[in-house]
Amino acid sequence: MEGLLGGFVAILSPETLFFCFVGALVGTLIGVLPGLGPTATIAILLPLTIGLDPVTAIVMIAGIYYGASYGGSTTAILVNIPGEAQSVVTCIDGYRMAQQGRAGPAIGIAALGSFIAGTLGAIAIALISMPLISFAVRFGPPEYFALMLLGFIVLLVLARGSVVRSMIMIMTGLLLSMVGQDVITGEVRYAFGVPQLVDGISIVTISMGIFGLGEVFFNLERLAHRSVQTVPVKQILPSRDEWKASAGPIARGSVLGFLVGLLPGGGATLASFVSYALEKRIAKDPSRFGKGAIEGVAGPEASNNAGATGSFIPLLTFGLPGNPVTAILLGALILYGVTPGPLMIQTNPEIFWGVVASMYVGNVMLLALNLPLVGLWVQLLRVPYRYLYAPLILFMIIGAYSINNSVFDIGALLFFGVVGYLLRKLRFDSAPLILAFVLGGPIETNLRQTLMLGRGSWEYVLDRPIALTIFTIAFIVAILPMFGFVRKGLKQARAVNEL
Amino acid sequence: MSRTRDLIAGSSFAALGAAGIALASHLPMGSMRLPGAGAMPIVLSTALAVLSLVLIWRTLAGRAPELEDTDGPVDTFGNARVALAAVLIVAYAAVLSWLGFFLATSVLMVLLFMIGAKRPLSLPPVLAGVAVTGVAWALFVLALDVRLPVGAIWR
Repeated sequence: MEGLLGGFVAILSPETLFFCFVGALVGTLIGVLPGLGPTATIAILLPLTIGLDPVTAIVMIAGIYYGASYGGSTTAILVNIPGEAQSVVTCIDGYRMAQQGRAGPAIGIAALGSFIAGTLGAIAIALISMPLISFAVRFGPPEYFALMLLGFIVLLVLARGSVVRSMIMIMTGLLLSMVGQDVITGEVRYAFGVPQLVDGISIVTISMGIFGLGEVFFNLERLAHRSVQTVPVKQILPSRDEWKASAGPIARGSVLGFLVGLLPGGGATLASFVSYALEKRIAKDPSRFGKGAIEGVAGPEASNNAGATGSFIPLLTFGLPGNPVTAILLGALILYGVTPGPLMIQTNPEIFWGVVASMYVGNVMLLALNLPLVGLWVQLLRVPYRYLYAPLILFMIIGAYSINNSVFDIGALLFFGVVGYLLRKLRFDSAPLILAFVLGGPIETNLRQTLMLGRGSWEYVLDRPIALTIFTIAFIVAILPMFGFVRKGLKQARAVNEL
Repeated sequence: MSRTRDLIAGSSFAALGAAGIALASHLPMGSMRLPGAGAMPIVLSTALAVLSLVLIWRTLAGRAPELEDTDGPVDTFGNARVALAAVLIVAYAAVLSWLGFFLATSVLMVLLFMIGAKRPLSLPPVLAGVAVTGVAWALFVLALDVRLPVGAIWR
């Protein structure tokens, strides 16, 4: 707790709070736009943090993230358009509530549930990070390789859509991570004689391109169909009965979401689906779900926020991102000269605890700022997209240029923007590609070091109980879908996921 | 439509895999004891090519799941709009160092706004373009101290 208090001290300066406020504001501003989810919003707004000190930048990113998530929920409830997969579940009952004239309580419970879950999540991170870090320092190359392999297997088992398509995305991401100098031998790979490629491709450029510019291009070809109809928002605060009905789902969603967030490939999306399924299963009258049940908004919204918070644990303790948002955050941290992992708490304690504290401050800011401004967000939803795409493109261009003060990066941004646009049109989920891109370097290095340590033999791993345990879990997870009951469950989960 | 998309995707990724193998073939492969710089790229490229062929085969055999069209309709000139935006960004990157941020960005913004405007040849896109450039310059250069090119022609 002492460290967490230190984190609060580090971020509770007027300047940092101001940037957190700006982050939450512009995060909501962009996140509320139909079609732009939290990942795209962070990718688009990352340039705003350039020039700030690392702690302030991270706090601002937290503000952007929470603002974007909240904005996405608002859009899901008011116009039935989920910005990202994590808001899909909110659409089901949230939009029905809005149609029944209960848009205010739906938005209110989404924000309050998220705030409660985010607060509990931040405390849980503070409590379990230290024991996990003590465990993580015992990890060597075989353990890291096993952990990353487990992450990819879980990702494939839970993948949306076809497994073959997800594997293609993973291989492409890993292959893209090979561009540049090999860290072990110094050989340059896939650089085509271009000096800027010797250091590899920047995670920030690839994220902004694929998630940000690709999404803007995709929406740009549908300008005529981007007008939305919203419903009026009256009373925001839920009634006593609505609170009573939501308390249980929020509590269960917070715990469940946090645990799901710890899984590689987990995070907000999976957490919201699991919470919805749980609430529907234990409800006295499951038939209310899908017809405007407030539990169907409270549980998943709390769960996706807790899941998002929980997904920071693998990043902060092992240095391994579990979803695209944490992958972009990893890129941002590296950009600021910070390497997440077990040693981060020693080398950059103010940033480690600053990240944890920023989750809480981001949530407070969100609550204080966004509930009173809900009328503004509703108005913003009515702004035609034709006025918005050009500034969004400019933000990303400035962000790409600022990384190395080079126009080459603008070209790289455009290239990945076109790739992201084409992938979207060809129905490929880009999330596995970004995760694989981020993990490609570490997975290769750890695999090669494992082989070198074992002199080319895997028997060496048998003497490493942690690595052996993780490999065994990975094997079990990989063969689980072969069993009928698991296959059936996954099929149902994917069907809901494809809604 | 889904079938055509899968075939295009499968062929593109198969070509990428093949190119990856060809480009990595001159790199040292090493051994199991000491893997070289080319080992991982070759393995990944081969896996990518094989998976792409599996996608093509499943599509041709009618075993690939049919994907529902949830994207919504594309505008009449939607594709042209995207292509034009991409060309404008290329041109912008080419002249940025020469014209400088303010002038190059103003032109880019005006043209980008024109692409999506209901009446492209009117005053609003011009005003919006210049205004957005001014706000971006104030935000990034004045407030956030980001260094943006001044332009060779102004020196």
